[in-house]
Amino acid sequence: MSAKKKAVALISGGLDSLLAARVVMDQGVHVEGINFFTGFCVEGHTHAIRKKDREKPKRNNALWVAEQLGIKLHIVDIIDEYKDVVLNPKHGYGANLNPCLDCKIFMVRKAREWIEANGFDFIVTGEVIGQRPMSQRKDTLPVVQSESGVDDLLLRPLCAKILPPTRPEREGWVRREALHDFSGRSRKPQMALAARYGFEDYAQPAGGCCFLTNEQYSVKLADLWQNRGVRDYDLDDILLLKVGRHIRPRPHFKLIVAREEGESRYLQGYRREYPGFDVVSHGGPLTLVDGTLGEDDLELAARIVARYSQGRDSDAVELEFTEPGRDPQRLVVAPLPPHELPGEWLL
Amino acid sequence: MAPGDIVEALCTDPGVLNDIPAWCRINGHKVLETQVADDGYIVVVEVCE
Repeated sequence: MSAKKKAVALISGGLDSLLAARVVMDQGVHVEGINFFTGFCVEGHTHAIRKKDREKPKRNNALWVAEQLGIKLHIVDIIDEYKDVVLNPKHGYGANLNPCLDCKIFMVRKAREWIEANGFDFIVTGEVIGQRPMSQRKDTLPVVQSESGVDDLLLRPLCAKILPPTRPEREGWVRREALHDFSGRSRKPQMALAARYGFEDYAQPAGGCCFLTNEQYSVKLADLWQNRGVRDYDLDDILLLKVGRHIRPRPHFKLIVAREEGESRYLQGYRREYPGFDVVSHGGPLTLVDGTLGEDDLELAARIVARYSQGRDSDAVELEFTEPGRDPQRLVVAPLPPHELPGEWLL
Repeated sequence: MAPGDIVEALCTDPGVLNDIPAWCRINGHKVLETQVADDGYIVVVEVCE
């Protein structure tokens, strides 16, 4: 009797990866999940930072999928390696700073390295031909296979019947007739399959799983590169871009202004690394300073913060400015009136 | 880490209250305690395997 075949399924946490893994598991293949953390992931708990979203379920969807399937999940941190994908995508960017095709090639290549290191037989993804505009087109699906080096060890169960047979199918590791022929942008076939399996409460399809596809986020990331003079980032940079109102009054600094209590609490975690403002005389947002304030900048920065406080209509607002490792200094300023805050400062 | 080791994680992300227990269930570890603190969230885990 031949040994049970083993597959690793790329689990983003979305509906497609959930279904793809389950379809293969139903054929008696041992499946484990792999999830790559790039730092740009949109997860339910990213929104949990904000107080208004407190009632929404907060979870890592990849972990939830693994629990639903009863499979092991390997979460792999690829933040550093992924930089080259973001900064130098061979196949370019989509509408924003999303290097989707290079990203998929990179992740499948990493999955190939993983199966070779761990004695697994093939890779499973939830890709559906025609569903995503960059990486899931008829002409780009083969590019993912060839440039990742995985060739025909990549099985796409949800659309396999309309693609050339892969080695798992030819070798009889899975039965092609039990795979699917989904295509296009509609999620209805997937949702119907989920209903047959009894899956509920899955992540909403087409919700978007990467901040790089978000226009506003991409503007802030491009701004960061432009004003630092170098296209680079670290994890704190990309996490902070997800939170707060970013205001750049001068090229050499920007303010990250919490928009509500949850964000203030989140930004509090960065007080040891970043200078910041607290509003003392009124309720107001915690604000971090990214960059260096010159002598002439402190008052302007404080007036901007005051403008977003509950003292915005007052003649004067008292704030405390603290640099890491130094004593706080107090200052009283007049809030900046709206007409003195140009739109181009808001990122 | 070895079975029996205790890890106390201090986090600013409220999602850990769901995610760490989920990860523990998947990987066979035990959540001993979760707590909301003034400056974040504390999850205490016992390594089981």
